[in-house]
Amino acid sequence: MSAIENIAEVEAQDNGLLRFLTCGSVDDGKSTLIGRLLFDTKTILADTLHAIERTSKKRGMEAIDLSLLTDGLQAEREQGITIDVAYRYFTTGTRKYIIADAPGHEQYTRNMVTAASTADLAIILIDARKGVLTQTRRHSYLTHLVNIPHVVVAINKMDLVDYSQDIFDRIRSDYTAFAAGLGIEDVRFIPMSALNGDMIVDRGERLDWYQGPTLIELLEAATTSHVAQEESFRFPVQYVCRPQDSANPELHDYRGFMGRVESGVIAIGDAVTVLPAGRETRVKDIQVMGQSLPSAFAEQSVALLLEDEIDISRGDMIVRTGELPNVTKQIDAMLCWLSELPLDPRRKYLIRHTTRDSKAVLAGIAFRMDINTMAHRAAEKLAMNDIARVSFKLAQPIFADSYANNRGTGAFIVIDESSNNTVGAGMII
Amino acid sequence: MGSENQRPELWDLYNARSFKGENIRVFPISNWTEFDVWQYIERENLELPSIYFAHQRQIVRRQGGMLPVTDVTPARPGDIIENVRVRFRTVGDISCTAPVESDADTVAKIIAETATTTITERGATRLDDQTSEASMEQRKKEGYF
Repeated sequence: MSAIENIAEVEAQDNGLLRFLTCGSVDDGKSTLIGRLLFDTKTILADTLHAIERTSKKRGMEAIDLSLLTDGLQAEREQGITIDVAYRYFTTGTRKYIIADAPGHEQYTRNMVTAASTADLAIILIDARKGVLTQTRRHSYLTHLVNIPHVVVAINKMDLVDYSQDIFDRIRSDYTAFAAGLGIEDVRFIPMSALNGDMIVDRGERLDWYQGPTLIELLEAATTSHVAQEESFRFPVQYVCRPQDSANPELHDYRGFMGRVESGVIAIGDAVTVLPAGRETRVKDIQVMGQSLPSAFAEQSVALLLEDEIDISRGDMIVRTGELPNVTKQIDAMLCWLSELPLDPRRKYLIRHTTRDSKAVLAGIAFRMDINTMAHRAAEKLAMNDIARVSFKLAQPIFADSYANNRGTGAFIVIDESSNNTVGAGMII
Repeated sequence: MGSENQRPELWDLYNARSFKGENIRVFPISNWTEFDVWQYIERENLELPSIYFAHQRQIVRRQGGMLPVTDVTPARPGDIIENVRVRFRTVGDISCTAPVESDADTVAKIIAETATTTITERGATRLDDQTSEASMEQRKKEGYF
């Protein structure tokens, strides 16, 4: 097949972008798994391959050490360049992938939460020799907390347990029992050997008893966030467009409310409510670059024109009438603290929720989560990497859904105005 | 803030607040591949400088790459000057940016070539990157845009 035909095929089958997170430590073969995905999807080009071949030989290895592909990151770390989350990219011709790779240790909780916040799928690595460990529970809790839609448990290093189905089945039932306790559903299990390339892209010949999909087949088939569920229409206003052209009478009354559809779908003629005013009206037009669209759906950036003249500014929200979010100045949330400076209960912070900023003060810490034992602990303050259930009092109302129902209108960040840094990541309950 | 002081990017909630005198560096297409860039150029029908398309050029071969012969990078005694059909996959400092041999003189042909290429853009065109895997990161740290 010529290259030109190849491209036509790429455009014909575009399954979009899938972001996924790999959870595990180097000991579980995480670098080898990522290397194997890049290698078997032909993402690695000749010069990179030659470089790792040379290094593998230098270290006395017979086969190419695929974990070296992620060692570039190691070199950067040694030079003192801070990278909280490393992103790797590959494509299969039908789909593009972004791998977010965060260190798996407890002290890197904040990095994992950051990486998880944009992930559609998580791969949790288990070493077949070791089974479900404390870190497996920690990673599973965090993927559940951040509500990653799909979880794949990769039971790796099957080559070191003789490709035993009994061992795979035992780990699967251990995991299922523990995950049910957390409320985790929709988990897929794959036995694999990243080292030998079994069940990653190719099936290999040593896991005949496993009839399920390979890892790449699961990745190719996974739905991305907005497709899966019925969502309410949420449109946080980013900008109010009022063209200044006195010579053009048509533009005189033009008010375009610009933003990105956070969730759901809206069509011309639909009844909407504007928050916080609570005023009801209808959608007169939906525009993109001067063109009119009959409807707009999640992730589209559009301008909405409304039938009635209503005073609307950035930070307001347009929603479907009858599907109102919670309009509130008090929120209960799970909070991950990101900053080296602890959360100070006496200080004011800024909370950014959709396009709206509000001053906020901590109203209480219900408990701190011990992410190794899942126990609730009492806490007076929060340090970096802590996760806790908290409540905040806000100066301005926000228009919120629970994070479990709507990531876009359930998430917020906490900003420290004295440094302007992002210091917390919150998920509304 | 120092360039190593990167703020966490959570969901789509970007925090671009800054104090007077501070700069924020943004890489909106840092996750685009060379292939993505060329597909975008084709879709938007963008005009490009001719240097990106195949053309005849005098070069010398050094460190496994080709170096264009110019006023600032003249041939050295003993160099063999060749006239080769080349294009630039990346355009930067002429003293360390090498062209590649190519007949691709249209966007469509470059896309076809990019889809089947076997060498990374940096490996093929950056003479300085061959010394260290992390030298691009080092440049970013020093403020390279």
